[in-house]
Order: sequence, then C-alpha cells, then structure tokens
Amino acid sequence: MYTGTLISRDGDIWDFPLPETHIEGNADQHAQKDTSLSSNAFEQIKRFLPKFGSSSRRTMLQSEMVYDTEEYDVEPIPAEDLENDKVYISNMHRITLLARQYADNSLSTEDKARLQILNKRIENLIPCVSEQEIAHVEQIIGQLQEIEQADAELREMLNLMD
Amino acid sequence: MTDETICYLNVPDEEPVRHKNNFIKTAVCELKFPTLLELEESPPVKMQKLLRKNYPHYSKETGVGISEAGPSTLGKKYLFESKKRDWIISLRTSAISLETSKYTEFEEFFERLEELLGISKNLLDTDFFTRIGLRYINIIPIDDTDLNGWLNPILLSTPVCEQLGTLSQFNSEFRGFIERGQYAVKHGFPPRNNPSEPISKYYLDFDHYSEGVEYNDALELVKDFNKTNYSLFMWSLGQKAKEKLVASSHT
Repeated sequence: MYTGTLISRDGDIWDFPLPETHIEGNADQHAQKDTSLSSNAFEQIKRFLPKFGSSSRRTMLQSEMVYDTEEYDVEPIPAEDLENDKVYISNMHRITLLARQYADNSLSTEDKARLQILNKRIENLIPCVSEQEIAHVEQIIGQLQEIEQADAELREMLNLMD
Repeated sequence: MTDETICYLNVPDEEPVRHKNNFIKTAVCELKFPTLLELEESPPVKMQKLLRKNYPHYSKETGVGISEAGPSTLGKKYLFESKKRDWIISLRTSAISLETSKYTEFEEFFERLEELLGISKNLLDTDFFTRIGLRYINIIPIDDTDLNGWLNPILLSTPVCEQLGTLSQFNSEFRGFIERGQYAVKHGFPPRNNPSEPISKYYLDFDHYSEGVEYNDALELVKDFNKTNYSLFMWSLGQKAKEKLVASSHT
C-alpha cells in the first residue's frame, strides 16, 4: 500500500493511503513524481483527512473563523452631526453624571443641578408620550363620549332610567 | 430656625467710598453653576476669543489629586489673565471667577464682572447659579506694632488679652446671616517664630455668599454684597486704620 502526503498552508501534515487504482507506473516512478489525484480518487481519500469545525484540534483565532456577514444599508452618522445633536449630547452628559452618581456616589451640588437640567431637557426633547399618541387617546375619548351619549338616548327611549 | 428667630447682620450702614489707599490684597467673585461637562472635553474657544483683548494670557491647568490608589485627574481649569496678570478669570467645569490683586474701586471690578457674565452666558448654559460669593482679603498694616486702635476692640478681645500672654498666632472665624445670604469673617495674624517679633500685619477676610441665584439677579446681588461688606469692613476697623484710609479719599 502506498501513502500520500498533504501539507496544509499552516504546516499541518497528513498522511493518507493512496488507492491502488490510481497508481500509474511503478512505485519508484511514482515516488519521483508529483502526486496527481483525479476527483474520484480524492473522494476516496477524503475520509482519511481530519475534519475541521468544532472538533478542530487547535484553538481557533478570530482571523481563522469565517462567519456570514449581514450588511445593512444604514449610513453612519457623521461625527459633526452628533456633536450638534442636542439629544445625543444631553444623553451622553446625563449618562456621565449618572455613572458618577452610581459609581462614586459623589455628585456635587453643581453636578446634581446639571443632572436635573439634563433630565428635564431630555424629557422635553424626547417626551415619553408623543403628540400623535395624545391625539389618538383624545380620539378614543371622543368615541367613548359618543357611545355614552347614544347609550343614554337608548335608555331614555326604553325607559331604562336609573 | 425660622426667619423670625434669625438676627441679621446689623452693623451701621456705610456708603461705599473710594479710598486712595485700600487694604485689599485680593478681591474675588466666584459664581458656581451646574457642571459643564463640555469643559472637560474641549477648551472654551469662543470665550477665549471674546476675552482676548482684555485678558491676553491664556493657560490651561489640570488638577491632579494624589490618593492611595495613585494620582487622578481632578478636572481642568482655564485661566485668562490681563496683560499685567493682575486680573484673572478662572473657568472650571462648575465655577467661574474674577479675581484681582490690584483692586482700586468697586466700579471697575463690577464692570469687568458684568462684561464676563455677558460673554459667558451662552457658554454656561444655565439660568441660575448654585452659589455666588464675593470675598475681600484685607491686610491691615500695624504700623506702630500695637494692635489696639487698629481694629474694633470686639475683634481684638482675644489677641490683646493679657491673661493669655504673648500669642504666637491668632486665627478666628465667625459666620452669620445677611438678608440675601450669609457672611463669613476670618481674622487674625500669622504665626510668629520669634515671640519678640512685633505684629506688623493683621488680616481681615470677608466672604459674602448666597445659594440658588437667578442669572439675571447675580449682578444686583454682588452690588448688595459689596455694600454690606463695606459696612462690615468699616465696623471692623479701629480709629487708626480709618484715619489711614480717609487721609486721602474722595467719593
């Protein structure tokens, strides 16, 4: 039985048995030639090759791993826009002060005053309830009032007064 | 303590007068405001441009604290100094101050303060100050080395008390209320290595302050502080010091 050798780019060496059907010429001749395998022959020897994946015998580097990459069509916000973004700045400063508050528990009077200002500012810039939501609730209230009115009229018509 | 039980400072009112010679070694007005984190990240370039004419010297300092955990950064301080470096504006992340070692009259001090508040209004991003303080540190020259006559006897009751013997140093402090805030007075003389060395200087350090002040009320408050300070200052002086002051004065 003859054996072939595969050397990976990383220098790993694997020996595998060569199928006899593949051997061309005698062994001495073959030893002096490059091994050349047909696709059929490769299928036969593949079972002797180590399998990669989670059972790989070495710890993988990040650069050796291949992942599917999902790309999104979201353009990054330019730095100068962020610098001028009131919400962004207020949020960043608020987070800094909150971090100091919780990490050191040492906010000065001036720090506390700024935190209050930022809280109020952010509340105004990003209200918990939007104008559309308020309008929607008002619309529901209007419908409820109409139903109440209709209900009262029906009760009156049917003499179902309380 | 309710307002009814508080007794405010009630020394005799004195109209501020400009004296040819004054005893003020340092005058400073400090205004504290809600912390500006921007100043930790970048210098106040716009403000620097606006102040450049009267305060051409600009420098930046970083405070360093030493603790068991090692050195740590305390915060940045930006200094703007006048040409002769006798007027200094200091800007920190939560305080701005105007200080002079060459005080001549309140009007000049006030004008500079007014200009400063006008320039810094946008930068400070606040409509109130958490604290405003006006402080005058006076050094009274005891020309004849005898404390008696230079200061109000009430202040001198301890340092001139014979029963206590020769004092090597004396420092005292008291605080009280004024209608728009509080005041603090520190006074005394520095340590003397040689007991036979005469007392040649006596310091009077007045600080008037108030917390939670609207931005637009700041200047009026400082004016009030100055008036109260002058009355308290004159009350603190003895006849010899007053004579030295009024020897050449005009309103």
